[in-house]
Amino acid sequence: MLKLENVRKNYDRFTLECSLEVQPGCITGLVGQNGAGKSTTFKAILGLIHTDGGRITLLGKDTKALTTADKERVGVVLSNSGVSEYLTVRDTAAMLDGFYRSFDRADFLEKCRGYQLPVDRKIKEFSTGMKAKLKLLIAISHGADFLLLDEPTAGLDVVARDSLLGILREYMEEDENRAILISSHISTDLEGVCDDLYMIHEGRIILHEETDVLLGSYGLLKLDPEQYASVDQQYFLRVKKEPYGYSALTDQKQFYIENYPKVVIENSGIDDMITMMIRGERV
Amino acid sequence: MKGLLIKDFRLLKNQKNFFILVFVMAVFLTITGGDESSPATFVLPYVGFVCSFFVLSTISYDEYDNGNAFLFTLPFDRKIYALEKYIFGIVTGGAGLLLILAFILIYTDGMAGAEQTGETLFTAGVSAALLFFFLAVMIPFQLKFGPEKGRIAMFIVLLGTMALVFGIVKLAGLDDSALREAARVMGRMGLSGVAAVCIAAAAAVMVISMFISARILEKKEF
Repeated sequence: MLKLENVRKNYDRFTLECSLEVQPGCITGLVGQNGAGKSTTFKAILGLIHTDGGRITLLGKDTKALTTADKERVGVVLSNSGVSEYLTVRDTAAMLDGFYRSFDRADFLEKCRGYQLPVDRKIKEFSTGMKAKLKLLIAISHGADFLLLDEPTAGLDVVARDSLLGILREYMEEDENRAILISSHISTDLEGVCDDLYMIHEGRIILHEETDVLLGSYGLLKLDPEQYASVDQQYFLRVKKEPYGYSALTDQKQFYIENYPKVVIENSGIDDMITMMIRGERV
Repeated sequence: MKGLLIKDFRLLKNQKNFFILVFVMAVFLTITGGDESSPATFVLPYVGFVCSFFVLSTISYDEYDNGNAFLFTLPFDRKIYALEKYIFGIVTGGAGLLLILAFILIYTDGMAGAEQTGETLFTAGVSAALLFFFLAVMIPFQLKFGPEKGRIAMFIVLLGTMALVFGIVKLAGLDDSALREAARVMGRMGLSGVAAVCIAAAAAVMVISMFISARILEKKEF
Protein backbone atom coordinates (compact mmCIF):
# COMPACT_ATOMS: atom_id res chain seq x y z
CA MET A 1 0.00 0.00 0.00
CA LEU A 2 2.64 2.48 1.12
CA LYS A 3 6.42 2.27 1.08
CA LEU A 4 8.96 4.88 2.10
CA GLU A 5 12.53 4.05 1.13
CA ASN A 6 15.23 6.24 2.68
CA VAL A 7 13.09 9.34 2.39
CA ARG A 8 15.08 12.41 3.38
CA LYS A 9 14.03 15.96 4.12
CA ASN A 10 16.53 18.49 5.39
CA TYR A 11 15.64 21.50 7.49
CA ASP A 12 18.06 23.81 9.26
CA ARG A 13 17.80 22.05 12.60
CA PHE A 14 16.06 18.81 11.69
CA THR A 15 16.55 16.01 9.22
CA LEU A 16 14.01 13.33 8.42
CA GLU A 17 15.46 10.03 7.27
CA CYS A 18 12.67 7.53 7.16
CA SER A 19 11.85 4.10 5.74
CA LEU A 20 8.58 2.36 6.50
CA GLU A 21 5.96 0.17 4.92
CA VAL A 22 2.22 -0.33 5.30
CA GLN A 23 0.76 -3.61 4.05
CA PRO A 24 -2.79 -4.05 2.68
CA GLY A 25 -5.25 -5.00 5.41
CA CYS A 26 -3.05 -3.52 8.14
CA ILE A 27 -3.24 -0.60 10.50
CA THR A 28 0.28 0.66 11.03
CA GLY A 29 1.06 3.10 13.81
CA LEU A 30 3.70 5.78 13.91
CA VAL A 31 4.60 6.80 17.45
CA GLY A 32 7.00 9.39 18.69
CA GLN A 33 7.33 12.50 20.76
CA ASN A 34 6.20 15.92 19.59
CA GLY A 35 8.67 17.11 16.98
CA ALA A 36 9.95 13.58 16.27
CA GLY A 37 9.03 13.83 12.58
CA LYS A 38 5.57 12.25 12.42
CA SER A 39 3.85 15.17 10.67
CA THR A 40 6.85 15.71 8.37
CA THR A 41 6.56 12.06 7.32
CA PHE A 42 2.86 12.52 6.52
CA LYS A 43 3.53 15.72 4.61
CA ALA A 44 6.24 14.00 2.58
CA ILE A 45 3.86 11.14 1.69
CA LEU A 46 1.16 13.62 0.67
CA GLY A 47 3.51 15.75 -1.44
CA LEU A 48 2.92 18.80 0.75
CA ILE A 49 6.68 19.18 1.11
CA HIS A 50 9.42 18.41 -1.39
CA THR A 51 11.78 15.68 -0.28
CA ASP A 52 15.56 15.77 -0.69
CA GLY A 53 16.01 12.10 -1.41
CA GLY A 54 14.51 8.62 -1.33
CA ARG A 55 11.38 7.22 -2.87
CA ILE A 56 7.74 7.09 -1.76
CA THR A 57 5.38 4.56 -3.32
CA LEU A 58 1.66 4.83 -2.61
CA LEU A 59 -0.98 2.51 -4.10
CA GLY A 60 1.76 0.96 -6.23
CA LYS A 61 2.91 4.24 -7.79
CA ASP A 62 5.57 6.82 -7.11
CA THR A 63 3.70 9.59 -5.29
CA LYS A 64 4.95 12.13 -7.86
CA ALA A 65 3.05 10.18 -10.52
CA LEU A 66 -0.25 9.96 -8.62
CA THR A 67 -3.24 11.12 -10.68
CA THR A 68 -6.34 12.86 -9.40
CA ALA A 69 -8.17 9.51 -9.59
CA ASP A 70 -5.45 7.92 -7.43
CA LYS A 71 -5.77 10.71 -4.88
CA GLU A 72 -9.49 9.95 -4.61
CA ARG A 73 -8.48 6.59 -3.13
CA VAL A 74 -6.73 8.26 -0.19
CA GLY A 75 -8.40 9.77 2.87
CA VAL A 76 -6.48 12.21 5.03
CA VAL A 77 -6.56 13.67 8.52
CA LEU A 78 -3.89 16.24 9.36
CA SER A 79 -3.20 17.26 12.93
CA ASN A 80 -3.01 21.01 12.34
CA SER A 81 -5.18 21.53 9.29
CA GLY A 82 -8.67 20.82 8.04
CA VAL A 83 -11.36 22.20 5.73
CA SER A 84 -11.86 25.95 5.88
CA GLU A 85 -13.53 26.81 9.16
CA TYR A 86 -15.58 29.46 7.40
CA LEU A 87 -17.59 26.69 5.73
CA THR A 88 -20.46 24.74 7.26
CA VAL A 89 -20.71 20.95 7.16
CA ARG A 90 -23.32 21.34 4.42
CA ASP A 91 -20.91 23.54 2.40
CA THR A 92 -18.18 20.96 2.97
CA ALA A 93 -20.44 18.19 1.71
CA ALA A 94 -21.16 20.17 -1.47
CA MET A 95 -17.43 20.74 -1.96
CA LEU A 96 -16.52 17.07 -1.40
CA ASP A 97 -19.26 16.08 -3.84
CA GLY A 98 -17.42 18.15 -6.43
CA PHE A 99 -14.11 16.42 -5.69
CA TYR A 100 -14.96 12.73 -5.19
CA ARG A 101 -16.95 10.57 -7.60
CA SER A 102 -17.87 8.04 -4.90
CA PHE A 103 -18.84 10.59 -2.27
CA ASP A 104 -22.34 10.04 -0.91
CA ARG A 105 -23.59 13.41 0.27
CA ALA A 106 -26.76 12.16 2.01
CA ASP A 107 -24.84 9.43 3.85
CA PHE A 108 -22.14 11.89 4.93
CA LEU A 109 -24.67 14.39 6.29
CA GLU A 110 -26.51 11.55 8.03
CA LYS A 111 -23.30 10.36 9.70
CA CYS A 112 -22.47 13.93 10.77
CA ARG A 113 -25.88 14.28 12.35
CA GLY A 114 -25.36 10.88 13.99
CA TYR A 115 -22.22 12.22 15.65
CA GLN A 116 -24.09 15.36 16.80
CA LEU A 117 -22.36 17.69 14.35
CA PRO A 118 -24.59 20.65 13.44
CA VAL A 119 -24.59 20.75 9.64
CA ASP A 120 -25.53 24.40 9.20
CA ARG A 121 -23.16 25.98 11.68
CA LYS A 122 -19.72 27.24 10.69
CA ILE A 123 -16.94 24.80 11.58
CA LYS A 124 -15.04 27.51 13.47
CA GLU A 125 -17.81 27.38 16.08
CA PHE A 126 -17.22 23.65 16.69
CA SER A 127 -15.46 22.23 19.75
CA THR A 128 -12.12 20.39 19.39
CA GLY A 129 -13.88 17.04 19.60
CA MET A 130 -16.45 17.99 16.96
CA LYS A 131 -13.71 19.15 14.59
CA ALA A 132 -11.77 15.90 15.10
CA LYS A 133 -14.86 13.81 14.35
CA LEU A 134 -15.59 15.87 11.24
CA LYS A 135 -12.02 15.42 9.99
CA LEU A 136 -12.28 11.66 10.32
CA LEU A 137 -15.76 11.51 8.77
CA ILE A 138 -14.41 13.47 5.80
CA ALA A 139 -11.45 11.08 5.45
CA ILE A 140 -13.72 8.02 5.29
CA SER A 141 -16.55 9.70 3.33
CA HIS A 142 -15.47 8.63 -0.15
CA GLY A 143 -14.61 4.96 0.27
CA ALA A 144 -10.84 5.49 0.30
CA ASP A 145 -8.60 2.42 0.12
CA PHE A 146 -5.95 4.01 2.28
CA LEU A 147 -6.15 6.39 5.19
CA LEU A 148 -3.36 8.67 6.37
CA LEU A 149 -4.26 9.87 9.83
CA ASP A 150 -1.93 12.25 11.61
CA GLU A 151 -2.90 12.60 15.27
CA PRO A 152 -6.63 12.06 14.68
CA THR A 153 -7.29 11.74 18.41
CA ALA A 154 -5.31 14.78 19.58
CA GLY A 155 -7.11 16.90 22.14
CA LEU A 156 -9.94 14.41 22.68
CA ASP A 157 -11.23 12.91 25.91
CA VAL A 158 -11.24 9.13 26.45
CA VAL A 159 -14.84 8.63 25.32
CA ALA A 160 -14.40 10.64 22.13
CA ARG A 161 -11.11 8.83 21.38
CA ASP A 162 -12.80 5.47 21.80
CA SER A 163 -15.63 6.53 19.52
CA LEU A 164 -13.13 7.61 16.85
CA LEU A 165 -11.18 4.37 17.08
CA GLY A 166 -14.53 2.57 16.72
CA ILE A 167 -15.06 4.38 13.41
CA LEU A 168 -11.66 3.14 12.24
CA ARG A 169 -12.36 -0.49 13.16
CA GLU A 170 -15.68 -0.29 11.30
CA TYR A 171 -13.92 1.18 8.28
CA MET A 172 -11.40 -1.67 8.18
CA GLU A 173 -14.11 -4.32 8.54
CA GLU A 174 -15.85 -3.06 5.39
CA ASP A 175 -12.97 -4.11 3.12
CA GLU A 176 -10.07 -6.37 4.08
CA ASN A 177 -7.66 -4.74 1.63
CA ARG A 178 -7.90 -1.30 3.14
CA ALA A 179 -4.98 0.03 5.14
CA ILE A 180 -4.24 2.86 7.54
CA LEU A 181 -1.15 4.72 8.64
CA ILE A 182 -1.96 6.45 11.90
CA SER A 183 0.18 8.56 14.18
CA SER A 184 -0.42 9.49 17.75
CA HIS A 185 1.51 10.50 20.81
CA ILE A 186 -1.12 8.70 22.89
CA SER A 187 0.23 5.18 22.67
CA THR A 188 -2.74 3.39 24.24
CA ASP A 189 -4.82 4.48 21.24
CA LEU A 190 -2.42 2.70 18.94
CA GLU A 191 -1.99 -0.42 21.11
CA GLY A 192 -5.69 -1.09 20.67
CA VAL A 193 -5.94 -0.78 16.89
CA CYS A 194 -2.55 -1.21 15.24
CA ASP A 195 -1.12 -4.38 13.72
CA ASP A 196 2.41 -3.02 13.80
CA LEU A 197 4.18 0.05 15.09
CA TYR A 198 7.04 2.23 13.99
CA MET A 199 8.75 4.38 16.57
CA ILE A 200 10.27 7.59 15.29
CA HIS A 201 12.77 9.78 17.13
CA GLU A 202 14.66 12.83 15.84
CA GLY A 203 13.55 12.05 12.31
CA ARG A 204 14.68 8.42 12.32
CA ILE A 205 12.82 5.16 12.77
CA ILE A 206 14.33 3.57 15.87
CA LEU A 207 12.03 0.58 16.22
CA HIS A 208 9.59 -1.42 14.11
CA GLU A 209 7.66 -4.31 15.57
CA GLU A 210 4.30 -6.05 15.42
CA THR A 211 2.05 -4.82 18.22
CA ASP A 212 1.43 -8.37 19.51
CA VAL A 213 5.17 -8.96 19.76
CA LEU A 214 5.72 -5.59 21.42
CA LEU A 215 3.12 -6.29 24.04
CA GLY A 216 3.92 -10.00 24.40
CA SER A 217 7.69 -10.29 24.17
CA TYR A 218 8.95 -6.93 25.32
CA GLY A 219 9.34 -6.35 29.01
CA LEU A 220 10.87 -3.99 31.50
CA LEU A 221 13.30 -5.48 34.01
CA LYS A 222 13.81 -3.69 37.31
CA LEU A 223 17.18 -4.59 38.72
CA ASP A 224 19.16 -3.67 41.79
CA PRO A 225 22.92 -3.20 41.19
CA GLU A 226 23.75 -6.79 42.18
CA GLN A 227 21.12 -8.29 39.89
CA TYR A 228 22.26 -5.99 37.11
CA ALA A 229 25.80 -7.26 37.43
CA SER A 230 24.76 -10.92 37.45
CA VAL A 231 22.03 -11.22 34.78
CA ASP A 232 22.71 -12.08 31.17
CA GLN A 233 22.54 -8.77 29.30
CA GLN A 234 22.60 -10.12 25.75
CA TYR A 235 18.86 -9.46 25.24
CA PHE A 236 18.87 -5.96 26.70
CA LEU A 237 17.87 -3.33 24.15
CA ARG A 238 18.30 -0.31 26.38
CA VAL A 239 19.35 0.29 29.98
CA LYS A 240 18.60 3.25 32.17
CA LYS A 241 20.00 4.18 35.59
CA GLU A 242 17.26 4.45 38.23
CA PRO A 243 17.26 5.42 41.96
CA TYR A 244 16.86 1.72 42.85
CA GLY A 245 19.48 0.49 40.37
CA TYR A 246 18.69 -0.07 36.70
CA SER A 247 15.75 -0.61 34.42
CA ALA A 248 16.30 -2.59 31.25
CA LEU A 249 14.15 -3.04 28.17
CA THR A 250 14.21 -6.47 26.59
CA ASP A 251 12.50 -8.11 23.65
CA GLN A 252 12.98 -11.57 25.26
CA LYS A 253 10.82 -11.24 28.34
CA GLN A 254 10.21 -15.01 28.58
CA PHE A 255 13.94 -15.75 28.76
CA TYR A 256 14.29 -13.64 31.90
CA ILE A 257 11.06 -14.93 33.46
CA GLU A 258 12.33 -18.49 33.13
CA ASN A 259 15.96 -17.93 34.10
CA TYR A 260 15.73 -15.13 36.66
CA PRO A 261 12.57 -15.72 38.70
CA LYS A 262 13.61 -13.24 41.37
CA VAL A 263 13.94 -10.33 38.98
CA VAL A 264 10.94 -7.98 38.78
CA ILE A 265 9.70 -8.02 35.18
CA GLU A 266 6.87 -5.79 34.04
CA ASN A 267 4.99 -5.82 30.79
CA SER A 268 6.22 -2.76 28.97
CA GLY A 269 3.59 -0.54 27.49
CA ILE A 270 4.43 1.52 24.44
CA ASP A 271 5.03 4.58 26.62
CA ASP A 272 7.69 2.69 28.61
CA MET A 273 9.21 1.54 25.38
CA ILE A 274 9.38 5.05 23.96
CA THR A 275 10.96 6.35 27.15
CA MET A 276 13.52 3.55 27.23
CA MET A 277 14.36 3.74 23.54
CA ILE A 278 14.90 7.49 23.79
CA ARG A 279 16.40 7.96 27.23
CA GLY A 280 18.03 4.59 27.75
CA GLU A 281 21.54 3.61 26.70
CA ARG A 282 22.57 0.76 24.46
CA VAL A 283 24.30 -2.05 26.29
CA MET B 1 -11.92 22.24 -10.44
CA LYS B 2 -15.62 21.79 -9.67
CA GLY B 3 -14.96 21.18 -5.98
CA LEU B 4 -12.70 24.24 -5.77
CA LEU B 5 -15.30 26.47 -7.45
CA ILE B 6 -18.03 25.18 -5.12
CA LYS B 7 -15.78 25.89 -2.14
CA ASP B 8 -15.01 29.43 -3.27
CA PHE B 9 -18.63 30.31 -4.05
CA ARG B 10 -19.65 28.94 -0.65
CA LEU B 11 -16.89 31.02 0.97
CA LEU B 12 -18.14 34.03 -0.96
CA LYS B 13 -21.33 33.84 1.11
CA ASN B 14 -19.23 35.21 3.98
CA GLN B 15 -18.69 38.33 1.84
CA LYS B 16 -22.29 38.97 0.87
CA ASN B 17 -22.60 42.13 2.98
CA PHE B 18 -19.50 43.53 1.29
CA PHE B 19 -20.94 42.63 -2.12
CA ILE B 20 -24.21 44.41 -1.30
CA LEU B 21 -22.27 47.46 -0.08
CA VAL B 22 -20.27 47.61 -3.33
CA PHE B 23 -23.46 47.40 -5.36
CA VAL B 24 -25.22 50.06 -3.28
CA MET B 25 -22.19 52.37 -3.57
CA ALA B 26 -22.08 51.82 -7.33
CA VAL B 27 -25.78 52.60 -7.68
CA PHE B 28 -25.40 55.69 -5.49
CA LEU B 29 -22.42 56.95 -7.52
CA THR B 30 -24.29 56.32 -10.77
CA ILE B 31 -27.31 58.31 -9.63
CA THR B 32 -25.26 61.19 -8.21
CA GLY B 33 -22.65 61.08 -10.98
CA GLY B 34 -23.51 64.45 -12.61
CA ASP B 35 -24.51 65.26 -16.15
CA GLU B 36 -21.23 66.14 -17.86
CA SER B 37 -19.99 62.63 -18.50
CA SER B 38 -21.28 59.11 -18.27
CA PRO B 39 -21.34 57.87 -14.63
CA ALA B 40 -19.81 54.70 -16.00
CA THR B 41 -16.41 56.45 -16.33
CA PHE B 42 -15.73 56.08 -12.64
CA VAL B 43 -18.25 53.49 -11.45
CA LEU B 44 -17.35 50.61 -13.76
CA PRO B 45 -13.58 50.60 -13.14
CA TYR B 46 -14.34 50.97 -9.41
CA VAL B 47 -16.59 47.89 -9.47
CA GLY B 48 -14.04 45.94 -11.51
CA PHE B 49 -11.28 46.81 -9.04
CA VAL B 50 -13.32 46.05 -5.92
CA CYS B 51 -14.70 42.77 -7.32
CA SER B 52 -11.17 41.56 -8.04
CA PHE B 53 -10.69 41.48 -4.27
CA PHE B 54 -13.22 38.67 -3.90
CA VAL B 55 -10.78 36.14 -5.29
CA LEU B 56 -8.03 37.45 -3.01
CA SER B 57 -10.29 36.93 -0.02
CA THR B 58 -10.82 33.28 -1.03
CA ILE B 59 -7.03 32.80 -1.12
CA SER B 60 -6.89 34.27 2.41
CA TYR B 61 -9.68 31.93 3.54
CA ASP B 62 -7.76 28.98 2.09
CA GLU B 63 -4.61 29.98 3.94
CA TYR B 64 -6.35 30.77 7.22
CA ASP B 65 -5.26 28.53 10.09
CA ASN B 66 -2.97 26.46 7.84
CA GLY B 67 -6.00 25.32 5.81
CA ASN B 68 -3.93 24.95 2.64
CA ALA B 69 -2.19 21.85 3.98
CA PHE B 70 -5.43 19.87 4.06
CA LEU B 71 -6.83 21.52 0.95
CA PHE B 72 -3.87 20.38 -1.13
CA THR B 73 -4.39 16.74 -0.12
CA LEU B 74 -7.72 16.78 -1.97
CA PRO B 75 -7.83 15.30 -5.47
CA PHE B 76 -6.79 18.16 -7.73
CA ASP B 77 -3.62 19.35 -9.36
CA ARG B 78 -1.76 22.42 -8.10
CA LYS B 79 -2.01 23.95 -11.60
CA ILE B 80 -5.78 23.53 -11.44
CA TYR B 81 -5.87 25.46 -8.16
CA ALA B 82 -4.08 28.38 -9.84
CA LEU B 83 -6.33 28.24 -12.91
CA GLU B 84 -9.45 28.10 -10.74
CA LYS B 85 -8.50 31.32 -8.96
CA TYR B 86 -8.36 33.20 -12.29
CA ILE B 87 -11.64 31.69 -13.46
CA PHE B 88 -13.29 32.52 -10.16
CA GLY B 89 -11.92 36.08 -10.38
CA ILE B 90 -13.19 36.53 -13.93
CA VAL B 91 -16.62 35.10 -13.09
CA THR B 92 -17.17 37.14 -9.90
CA GLY B 93 -15.60 40.33 -11.29
CA GLY B 94 -17.41 39.90 -14.60
CA ALA B 95 -20.74 39.30 -12.86
CA GLY B 96 -20.26 42.46 -10.78
CA LEU B 97 -19.39 44.48 -13.86
CA LEU B 98 -22.33 43.15 -15.88
CA LEU B 99 -24.74 43.83 -13.03
CA ILE B 100 -23.67 47.45 -12.69
CA LEU B 101 -23.41 47.87 -16.46
CA ALA B 102 -27.00 46.71 -16.83
CA PHE B 103 -28.10 49.18 -14.17
CA ILE B 104 -26.16 52.07 -15.75
CA LEU B 105 -27.54 51.32 -19.21
CA ILE B 106 -31.09 51.18 -17.93
CA TYR B 107 -30.64 54.25 -15.75
CA THR B 108 -28.75 56.50 -18.20
CA ASP B 109 -30.78 55.41 -21.22
CA GLY B 110 -33.92 55.95 -19.20
CA MET B 111 -32.82 59.38 -17.96
CA ALA B 112 -30.79 60.83 -20.79
CA GLY B 113 -31.44 58.78 -23.90
CA ALA B 114 -29.02 56.44 -25.55
CA GLU B 115 -26.29 58.91 -26.60
CA GLN B 116 -23.94 57.73 -23.86
CA THR B 117 -24.42 54.02 -24.50
CA GLY B 118 -21.38 53.69 -26.76
CA GLU B 119 -19.17 55.44 -24.25
CA THR B 120 -20.55 53.29 -21.42
CA LEU B 121 -19.87 50.09 -23.31
CA PHE B 122 -16.34 51.31 -24.08
CA THR B 123 -15.78 52.01 -20.38
CA ALA B 124 -17.15 48.56 -19.54
CA GLY B 125 -14.67 47.00 -21.98
CA VAL B 126 -11.75 48.93 -20.52
CA SER B 127 -12.95 48.08 -16.99
CA ALA B 128 -12.99 44.38 -17.91
CA ALA B 129 -9.41 44.80 -19.15
CA LEU B 130 -8.52 46.51 -15.87
CA LEU B 131 -10.14 43.66 -13.93
CA PHE B 132 -8.06 41.13 -15.87
CA PHE B 133 -4.95 43.20 -15.24
CA PHE B 134 -5.63 43.51 -11.50
CA LEU B 135 -6.17 39.76 -11.24
CA ALA B 136 -3.05 39.06 -13.27
CA VAL B 137 -0.94 41.24 -10.97
CA MET B 138 -2.52 40.43 -7.62
CA ILE B 139 -3.02 36.64 -7.70
CA PRO B 140 0.65 35.62 -8.04
CA PHE B 141 1.67 38.05 -5.28
CA GLN B 142 -1.06 36.76 -3.01
CA LEU B 143 -0.06 33.14 -3.66
CA LYS B 144 3.64 33.81 -3.19
CA PHE B 145 3.63 36.11 -0.18
CA GLY B 146 0.22 35.68 1.47
CA PRO B 147 -2.35 38.40 2.19
CA GLU B 148 -0.26 40.89 4.17
CA LYS B 149 3.17 40.71 2.58
CA GLY B 150 1.53 40.13 -0.82
CA ARG B 151 -0.08 43.56 -0.86
CA ILE B 152 3.15 45.29 0.18
CA ALA B 153 5.19 43.38 -2.42
CA MET B 154 2.60 44.17 -5.09
CA PHE B 155 2.68 47.92 -4.39
CA ILE B 156 6.48 47.92 -4.40
CA VAL B 157 6.53 46.19 -7.79
CA LEU B 158 3.82 48.47 -9.22
CA LEU B 159 5.68 51.57 -8.04
CA GLY B 160 8.89 50.14 -9.45
CA THR B 161 7.20 49.49 -12.80
CA MET B 162 5.81 53.03 -12.91
CA ALA B 163 9.24 54.44 -12.10
CA LEU B 164 10.76 52.26 -14.82
CA VAL B 165 8.21 53.39 -17.42
CA PHE B 166 8.72 57.02 -16.38
CA GLY B 167 12.49 56.55 -16.65
CA ILE B 168 12.23 54.98 -20.11
CA VAL B 169 9.94 57.82 -21.31
CA LYS B 170 12.44 60.39 -20.03
CA LEU B 171 15.52 58.60 -21.34
CA ALA B 172 14.02 57.87 -24.74
CA GLY B 173 13.05 61.52 -25.02
CA LEU B 174 9.42 60.74 -25.82
CA ASP B 175 7.39 63.94 -25.89
CA ASP B 176 3.90 65.17 -26.66
CA SER B 177 4.20 64.25 -30.31
CA ALA B 178 4.41 60.56 -29.36
CA LEU B 179 1.27 60.92 -27.28
CA ARG B 180 -0.48 62.72 -30.12
CA GLU B 181 0.54 59.91 -32.49
CA ALA B 182 -0.84 57.32 -30.02
CA ALA B 183 -4.09 59.29 -29.80
CA ARG B 184 -4.29 59.38 -33.63
CA VAL B 185 -3.83 55.58 -33.81
CA MET B 186 -6.52 55.07 -31.18
CA GLY B 187 -8.81 57.45 -33.05
CA ARG B 188 -8.48 55.35 -36.19
CA MET B 189 -9.27 52.15 -34.22
CA GLY B 190 -12.49 53.54 -32.73
CA LEU B 191 -13.75 53.00 -29.20
CA SER B 192 -14.59 49.33 -29.63
CA GLY B 193 -11.19 48.69 -31.23
CA VAL B 194 -9.35 50.33 -28.35
CA ALA B 195 -11.42 48.35 -25.81
CA ALA B 196 -10.73 45.11 -27.69
CA VAL B 197 -6.97 45.82 -27.76
CA CYS B 198 -7.04 46.61 -24.01
CA ILE B 199 -8.88 43.36 -23.24
CA ALA B 200 -6.59 41.32 -25.48
CA ALA B 201 -3.48 42.87 -23.88
CA ALA B 202 -4.81 42.26 -20.35
CA ALA B 203 -5.78 38.69 -21.27
CA ALA B 204 -2.24 38.08 -22.56
CA VAL B 205 -0.80 39.42 -19.29
CA MET B 206 -3.23 37.16 -17.46
CA VAL B 207 -2.06 34.04 -19.30
CA ILE B 208 1.56 34.86 -18.40
CA SER B 209 0.46 35.50 -14.81
CA MET B 210 -1.32 32.12 -14.74
CA PHE B 211 1.90 30.32 -15.66
CA ILE B 212 3.76 32.25 -12.95
CA SER B 213 1.11 31.36 -10.35
CA ALA B 214 1.21 27.69 -11.32
CA ARG B 215 5.00 27.74 -10.94
CA ILE B 216 4.74 29.44 -7.52
CA LEU B 217 2.33 26.75 -6.34
CA GLU B 218 4.45 23.90 -7.69
CA LYS B 219 7.34 25.12 -5.54
CA LYS B 220 5.29 25.89 -2.44
CA GLU B 221 5.40 23.72 0.68
CA PHE B 222 2.53 23.48 3.15
